[in-house]
Amino acid sequence: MSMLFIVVLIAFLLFFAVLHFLEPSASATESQFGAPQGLDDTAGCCNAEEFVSLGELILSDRDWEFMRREQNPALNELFVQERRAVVRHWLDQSAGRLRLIRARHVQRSRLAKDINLVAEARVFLLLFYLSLVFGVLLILVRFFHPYRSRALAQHFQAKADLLWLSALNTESGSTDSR
Amino acid sequence: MLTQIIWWAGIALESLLLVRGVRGGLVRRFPLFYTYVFFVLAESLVMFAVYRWARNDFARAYWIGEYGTLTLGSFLLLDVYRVVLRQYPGTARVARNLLCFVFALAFAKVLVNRSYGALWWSAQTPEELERNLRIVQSFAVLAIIIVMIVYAIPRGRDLKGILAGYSLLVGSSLVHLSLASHPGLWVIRTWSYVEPVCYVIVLCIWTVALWRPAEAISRESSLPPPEMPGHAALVRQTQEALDNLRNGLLKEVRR
Repeated sequence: MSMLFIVVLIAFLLFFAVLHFLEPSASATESQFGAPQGLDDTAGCCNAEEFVSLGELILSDRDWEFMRREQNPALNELFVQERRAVVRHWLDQSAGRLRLIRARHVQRSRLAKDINLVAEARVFLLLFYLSLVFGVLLILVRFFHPYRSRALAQHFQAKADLLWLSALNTESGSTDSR
Repeated sequence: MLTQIIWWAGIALESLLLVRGVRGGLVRRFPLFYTYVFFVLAESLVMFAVYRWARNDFARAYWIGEYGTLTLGSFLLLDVYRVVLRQYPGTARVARNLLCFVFALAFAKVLVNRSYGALWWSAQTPEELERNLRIVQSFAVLAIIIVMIVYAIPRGRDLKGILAGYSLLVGSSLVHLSLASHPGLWVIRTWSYVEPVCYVIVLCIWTVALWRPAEAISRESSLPPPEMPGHAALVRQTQEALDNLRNGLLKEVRR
């Protein structure tokens, strides 16, 4: 019966492929990567480094501390709502940048004659990992207080690092040092 | 009656597919695919004759034909590989390695079965053997599809049609062959009709997708020239960009 289950699973994947290929919009154009239109490293407010430090400002401890001291529930709720929306927007933008990096890499690596499969696998592993982190953070922010989301994300991050990403980091670190 | 309709519909569609392929010049583009279709058409006609005039030999003739189409169907993937990935050497190498991995796994399975005293190719029934071969084939199809999706390989209507049709064919056949080894299940009776209908749908997909060759030709000429920097430099750039993004994110999380 387990064999039947495996076979049905494979068949399901194949039928999914059928649907994917029969979809009229399933032509592999560059926009298929899902990168936000017109977004590049310097698009929007700032460059990549400034953009990242925006997160620091959005989730600033001093803001939270100030709001706690105010002890105004209505204002606090408004602040949480506003901050949650900003965090989500920031995460959306970060995920967009990730898609853009992936799109650029894939567009060029598919033409590379000297492709290194191990390095390629490592890049995809990192891409998958970051996509997962963004996905989890987006879900957490939707359902929890942004400050609490950060704590949960920290927990998730620690576990992920412990499980399998530490090996990847060590590997990339040794490559860099060379 | 329904079986007869499906049979003749299949023969008509296969003939139409071949005629369109010859007239549109697609036979030169996908030679293995059209060889496969030609073989299936010839097999259908031979099987019809055997069924009509030598019914005792039908089972043997059926399985010989079935393994022939199965083998040729596997070569069909080579057409996809050759046509689609020829212009993408990086992706071609990934696909090649992935396919080698799939076949190595299948071979390892054979060796493991042998060590337990069972021969993979001497499965208890022909259905089981075909199912095992179909499983390997389906992994190969999935490997090609995954590589094409991940690397966003441009694909025209012709290739999408061939892959969609072939995935449906392999998938429906796989379900049918697996159910056949569980005779008690109620779905078997229904599926014995569903599978031939699926085959007719497959032929319809192929006929529509390969009706006109124009799109495929214009797409090829619009591809960019394959002039690229080294892969090591590209990986370094990507990893730097990812590290920036990751460090920024983790800084927030860990703070």
